[in-house]
Order: sequence, then C-alpha cells, then structure tokens
Amino acid sequence: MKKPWKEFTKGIIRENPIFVLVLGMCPTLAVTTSAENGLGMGAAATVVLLGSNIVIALLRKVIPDKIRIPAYITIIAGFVTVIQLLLKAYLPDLDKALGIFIPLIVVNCIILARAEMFASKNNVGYSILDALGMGVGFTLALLLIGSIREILGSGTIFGMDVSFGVIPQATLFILPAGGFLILGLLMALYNKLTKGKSQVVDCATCPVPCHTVSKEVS
Amino acid sequence: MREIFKPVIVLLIVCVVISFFVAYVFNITEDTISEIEKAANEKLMSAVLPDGNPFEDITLEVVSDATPTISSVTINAVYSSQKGFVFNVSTKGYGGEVVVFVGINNDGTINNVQVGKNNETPSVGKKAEEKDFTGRFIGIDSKQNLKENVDTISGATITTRGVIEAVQEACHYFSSYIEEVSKEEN
Repeated sequence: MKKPWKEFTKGIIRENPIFVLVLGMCPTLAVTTSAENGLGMGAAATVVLLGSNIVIALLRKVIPDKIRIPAYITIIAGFVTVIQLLLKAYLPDLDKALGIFIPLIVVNCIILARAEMFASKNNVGYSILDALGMGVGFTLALLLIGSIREILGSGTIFGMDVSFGVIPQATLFILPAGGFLILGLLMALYNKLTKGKSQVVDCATCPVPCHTVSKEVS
Repeated sequence: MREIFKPVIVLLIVCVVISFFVAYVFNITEDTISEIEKAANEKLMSAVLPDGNPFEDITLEVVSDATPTISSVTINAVYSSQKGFVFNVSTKGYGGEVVVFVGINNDGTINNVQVGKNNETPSVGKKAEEKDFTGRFIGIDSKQNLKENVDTISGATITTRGVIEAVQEACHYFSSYIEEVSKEEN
C-alpha cells in the first residue's frame, strides 16, 4: 500500500520539516550562520532521528500510551548524549563549532514529532526511511539557509572567500534578525514554487501530536 | 492494577536500558575526550609561552596571595616555567564564559594571549580569537592599564572588553605574586 520511495522523498519536498512543517526553528535560526554549521547540525540531528525512530518503532507496541512522551524523550536524550560524546572524542572540531546546539537536539521538535507522528505507528523499515527523508530534508534546508547567510554575511562559503574583495559583507545576515529574514523569504519562495502542493491536508501530515485522536478517527 | 503498574515498569526499564547505553559510550570515549581537552590546553599554553615546558602548577600559591579586582573574571589555573607564567582565566563574553590564556614573561611583559573555549557569535565575538586582536597585547608591560593600551573591536565590544579584563586581572595576579615572592626572599 505504502510506497517506500515516497516515504523517503516526502521529508525532502512535500513535508520538508523546515519549509512545510515549520519544526525545529530554534536550531534552524541559531546554527545557520555558516554553511558548515548547518551541515553539521543537520547530520547530527539525522543520526539522532534515525536512532530514535528505529528504537521507538521497535517499542511501539510495548510503550503504553500514557507514558509515551517521557519514554520518547528518554530515548532521544540518550541518543543525543551518545552523539555528543562521540563527537567530542572523534570529531572535536565539529563539536567546537556546534557547541551548545548538540544538547539542544533533545528538544528539537522534528525528532519528537517524527516519533509521535510516524515511528509510533509504523514498522521499523518505514521509520528508517522516514527518518532518513526527514533528516535529509532538514539538512538540505539548513545547508541552504546557512550558505545564503554565510555568503551575504561573511562573504565566504565553507570558509572560502567568494566576495572577491568587492562585495560588502552585511553582518546583519549572520545575526538573528538576518536568520528570520532569510527563512521568511525562502519559505515564501518555496510556497511560490510548489504552488500549494505542499499543503498539509490530512491527519498523517499534521505536525500537532494528536496520537489518540487520530487513532479514533481512523 | 495492570493499568497503573505497566507504565511505571516500562518507563523504568526504558530509563535503565538508556542509562546503561549512555554509560557504556561514556566509558569508551572518556579517555579520548580528556586527552583531546588536555592536548588543546597544552597547545594554547605553549602558544602563549613557547619553549616554556615543563609547566608547574602553582595555582594555589598565586590565588591565595592576591585579592580579586574584577568580579566577572576568575583565575582557573596558573602555571610557572623557566621563562615565565601562564594564566588560565575565565571571563564574561557575549555568549557566556570565555577562557583566555595569558603568557607573561619573567620580566613582566605580556608574551602572548590566546582565546580558548567560548560560545561567542561566529564572525562577530569570535573575532577575538584572531591574531589581529590577540596580537595587540604582545609586549605590553603588565603594570600598564590595558584598557588604555588595547583597543576593542567595534561590533565585538563585549567579548573583546571581557578578554582585556581577563588579561588585566592576570597581570594583577602576576604583580601581587611577584611582590609576595620578592618579600619572602628578602
């Protein structure tokens, strides 16, 4: 019934976590001051999302409804701590660049939302595809925002100078206000290009956790 | 009863299993992490005072001899070597704590300054890490008023002012320690 390929691609375009679902705005705006940080944050969040989606999909019949949120958060926090330790030990440069935003992945709405909306209702295979799709969509969006802000704000991309000494650097774009501006403009452009194709119409794509309600309806 | 106990037990099991998982990863990464942190510290220390090895930890002696003058700055550690002293100082930046390493020669001039761990804004506060800024301290006598001798970076005033205060406080501790030592020798 479900097409595996569609489960993967939905996170990239139709249900892009940033431009369509508008989830995880805090890390989105905070870390995208450069392309490299955006990419690193996206990759770290994808790994956590993959781990938590697999475990939650496996335990979906074991975890009682009443305690699902604390159980999910515990699992997610465990994965984030593990990622943080691994980054510190084996990729210290990336850890230095991302700093406080690694622990903040715990409260990244994308991860909890995918656990609620998807992993708790689907089997492991689909949950893996969902996590990868959402992760790639999140990473691409962060990379795009980060690149634009880095080019306009610092005149560089991945640390390489692209201003050729003529384009003035508008520091505004690497400050919080610039983040909102770029995000808003990109979202507008995204909606224009997809012409409402990405509209959230049914319960399966609704980002509000209403697990029990949707179960009764279906 | 099942309704009440099942969630409790499941949550307990989830927590215990996750704790063991985290503890396991912590165990295997612990040594690597502390080595990396130690190496990073040593790199900064030898950057502010080259050829200064080996360093001797004299934190307790230095800190007990002086009274703090700037409340936002704390002295984390002090090391002495043949060439001079290295101060590991924490100060307040825009994004929280900023660690500053200050190398002072035996003759009282500042040898070099390095900015270590911090959460400053990239391309703004982080400019304080660059040689353009840290180089401004080189060669200044520790008795001088640094606020008059070192310019802050416009746009990154809070961070750079914090770093200047950190160096100033290190100089203050250096002077009080030298005074104390020469008193004892006489």
